[in-house]
Amino acid sequence: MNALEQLKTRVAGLLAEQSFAALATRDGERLHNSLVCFAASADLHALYLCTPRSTRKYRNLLRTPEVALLIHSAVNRSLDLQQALAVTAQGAARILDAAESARYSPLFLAKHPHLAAFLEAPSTALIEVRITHYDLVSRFQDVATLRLQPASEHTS
Amino acid sequence: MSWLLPLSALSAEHRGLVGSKALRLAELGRQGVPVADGFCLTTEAYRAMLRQSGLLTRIGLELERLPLSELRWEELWDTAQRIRSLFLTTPLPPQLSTVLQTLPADWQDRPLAVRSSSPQEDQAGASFAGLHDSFLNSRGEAALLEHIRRVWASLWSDGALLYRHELKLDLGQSAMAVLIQPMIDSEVSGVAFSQSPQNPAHCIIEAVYGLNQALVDGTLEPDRWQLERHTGTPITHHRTTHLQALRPTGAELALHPLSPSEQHRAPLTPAQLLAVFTLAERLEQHFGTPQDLEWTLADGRLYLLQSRPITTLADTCEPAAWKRADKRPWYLSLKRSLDTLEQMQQRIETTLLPEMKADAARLATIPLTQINDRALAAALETRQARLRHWQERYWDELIPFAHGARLFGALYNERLKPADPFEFTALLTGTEMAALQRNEALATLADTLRAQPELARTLDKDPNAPLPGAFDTALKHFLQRFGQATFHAHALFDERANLIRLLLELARQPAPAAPRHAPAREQLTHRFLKAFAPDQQTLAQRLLAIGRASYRWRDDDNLILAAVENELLRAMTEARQRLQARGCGHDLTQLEADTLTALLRRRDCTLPPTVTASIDEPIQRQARPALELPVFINEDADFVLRARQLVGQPAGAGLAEGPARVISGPEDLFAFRAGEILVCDAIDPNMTFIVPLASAIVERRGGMLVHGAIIAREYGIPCVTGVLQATQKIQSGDRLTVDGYLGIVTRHEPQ
Repeated sequence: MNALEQLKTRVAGLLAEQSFAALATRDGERLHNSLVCFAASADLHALYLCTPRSTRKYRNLLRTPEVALLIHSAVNRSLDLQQALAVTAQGAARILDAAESARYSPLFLAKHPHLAAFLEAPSTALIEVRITHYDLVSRFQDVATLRLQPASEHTS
Repeated sequence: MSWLLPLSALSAEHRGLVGSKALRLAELGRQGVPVADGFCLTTEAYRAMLRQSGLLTRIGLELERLPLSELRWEELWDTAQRIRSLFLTTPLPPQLSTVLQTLPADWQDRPLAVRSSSPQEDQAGASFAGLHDSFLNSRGEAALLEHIRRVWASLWSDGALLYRHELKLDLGQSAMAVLIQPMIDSEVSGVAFSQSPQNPAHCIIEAVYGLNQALVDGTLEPDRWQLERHTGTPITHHRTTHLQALRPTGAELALHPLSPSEQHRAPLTPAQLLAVFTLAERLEQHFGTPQDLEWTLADGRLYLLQSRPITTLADTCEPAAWKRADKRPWYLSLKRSLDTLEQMQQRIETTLLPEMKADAARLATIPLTQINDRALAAALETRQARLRHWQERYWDELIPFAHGARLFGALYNERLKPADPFEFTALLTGTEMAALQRNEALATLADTLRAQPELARTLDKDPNAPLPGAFDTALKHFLQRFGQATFHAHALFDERANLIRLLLELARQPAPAAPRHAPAREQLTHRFLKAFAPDQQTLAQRLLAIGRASYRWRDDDNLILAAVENELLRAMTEARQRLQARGCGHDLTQLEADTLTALLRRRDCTLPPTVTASIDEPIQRQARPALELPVFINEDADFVLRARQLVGQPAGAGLAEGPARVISGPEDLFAFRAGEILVCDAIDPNMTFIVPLASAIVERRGGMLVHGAIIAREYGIPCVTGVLQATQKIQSGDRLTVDGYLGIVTRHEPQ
């Protein structure tokens, strides 16, 4: 396995194993963080999450689609500094329409089956974040960036 | 809380608390084998130390900093030294003193033996002699506490880190017990193998006068007997010249001259030899497996110090990667005592290096242009053979001598307990290293160009322009002294234009400042010497001298070796010129010496492929599994991988920012511009003439005492070593920040 494949495997592994991400959105100058459940597409091109339409994060990402999600494996031990893996995913968020939601809901529900009722509520929106790049931090300070090729950014 | 248990009370249920050494001695004591009384400070005390002081986390952070499987042996030593330093500088649990006060009252005035007893060896199913420390002649509470610290620290020794898989060394699980016994003031002591590792029909016994430590650490050569295993009949006796014995002296151990009668008498009488043999046989019968034992004789009585099963390391479980080239025993064999190092220094300075220099000088006198093709082919073979010979000497004698700096470092840390475990390197700087002398000579030539701007302009336009007489003479003088440098099998200063371009770049910079290390070096030297009692000043001076010599020769020997290599390269150049004249259509620059020799002899131009030389140590010398790092492919149809921040070892303090210059070949050295960051796979002293231009050094090869780190400290520039795949992840022109305090290299986003 080459270095790129190895890194993609690590990112994919973390995204599969972790249920939660800290989503950062922006309202003008003000930043807002929310804990969200997410699922990743197999090709790592997109992340999916859902939220009630009345929330601040929903309003924020309608105004400013650029978002960042922090996903990590730290479990609140001091050795996490060296042992945990953290990925910041950056991309642009988009509210999926009904047809798209129907297409991507199974992917989200496969990981979070207990959220079926929540996702199906008419007031809930399924959101797709098209990834521009992942920043992967391991061993405290070792940082690598995995950037989507321009041609891949809008394919799935 | 069961921190302290008497040896006599130990049983199998205590195994995890006391380790195999203590448990075996207890068992044998009950069987009537003569062993010294003792107490065992259990692993509970070790665990309390780690828990209460926060050491557990700090060791964990150190162990996880880089993957241990990817560390070279020098980096493992560095890691072990950092952990050791944590043990030396962290306060002990307050209860420990109270617990030790329950030791027998009459022990307070007696010298004690403080020995490691590791439960990990039980898990490994094998014994690993010499991985953990033991101390003799521990006198008084302060010394006892200090020795306990050091025994605990030795759980994480470099040797233990090397065998971590076999030992199942794990931060959460592993622990160390300490055996405390009155020291037996030995008249004679030794080791015995109830079954010889070489011949199963024999038993081996070795003996020295005095304490066993001198035998175990290789300071003294023992007398050695081979005996018939089933009868105890001596077969051979290798007599050695015994002149000294290790004995307690005040609070230390020292070598003492033997009396004339002892010098001429074997350490064991036939009856004593038989007694040791009988003990070894008894232990083998008791445990049901051949034993490796340490014993001692005092007041005419034979005592057992320890016994462990003989396990050939090759039989232990090994990860697949090790099977190819397990040179860990070679690494462990590098450790030398001060006396041995001094003998090595003597040989290196008076024989080895002068002979190497003389060999290169002799080869330089042969007029290669005037001999025929056949003679040139023979000269190529001779030069290859000479180079191989000296490379062997380099690995077998010069590299082991580099242990001197580490011996000094470990001792410095014990005495002074500095917060930075590599503070000692500051005392080693400022020696008369040949690379620094070469750089000073270059700086002087650059001064001339700085003072003669007209000449500099002329040479800038045409580096091959004629030189004025004085400058020409100075340049020739430089080449005579330092012109033999090689890099990646190229003679570096063969082309005058390259040297001129380098001098012009040096001359464009302000005149360099004097080295910055002087005050720190003097202060620290003073502090180091002050840490020794007046009667130990000679020892302190000897240690400092060996540290400095080792540090210096570690760098200089490469330059002398290059002079031999340069003679081979000179013959190769001559061969290429002749083959070109003959009309061989190959890219002759790619052909190695063997190929050129064959061509010269056979007049044939069809030849096998060549092999590229490497300046790093051969993989089998690195004492780690053959690295199988992923090939650094950074792009596929979907993603581009970019290393943004790389972690290594902080090997030279400071912070610098600048463009990277990745050194792949000689052309990169001569393209180097002031302010650039030198990025290299493995720095060789032959190439460090560009360091005065560099703002920082980044090196793939890791270690605090590698060439890159040594030269960076001399020039006071930041240095990060041990950056995996540095030359693949960084490209020339990348803008970098090198943080030499933390060991971090940041690549900035392209503008």
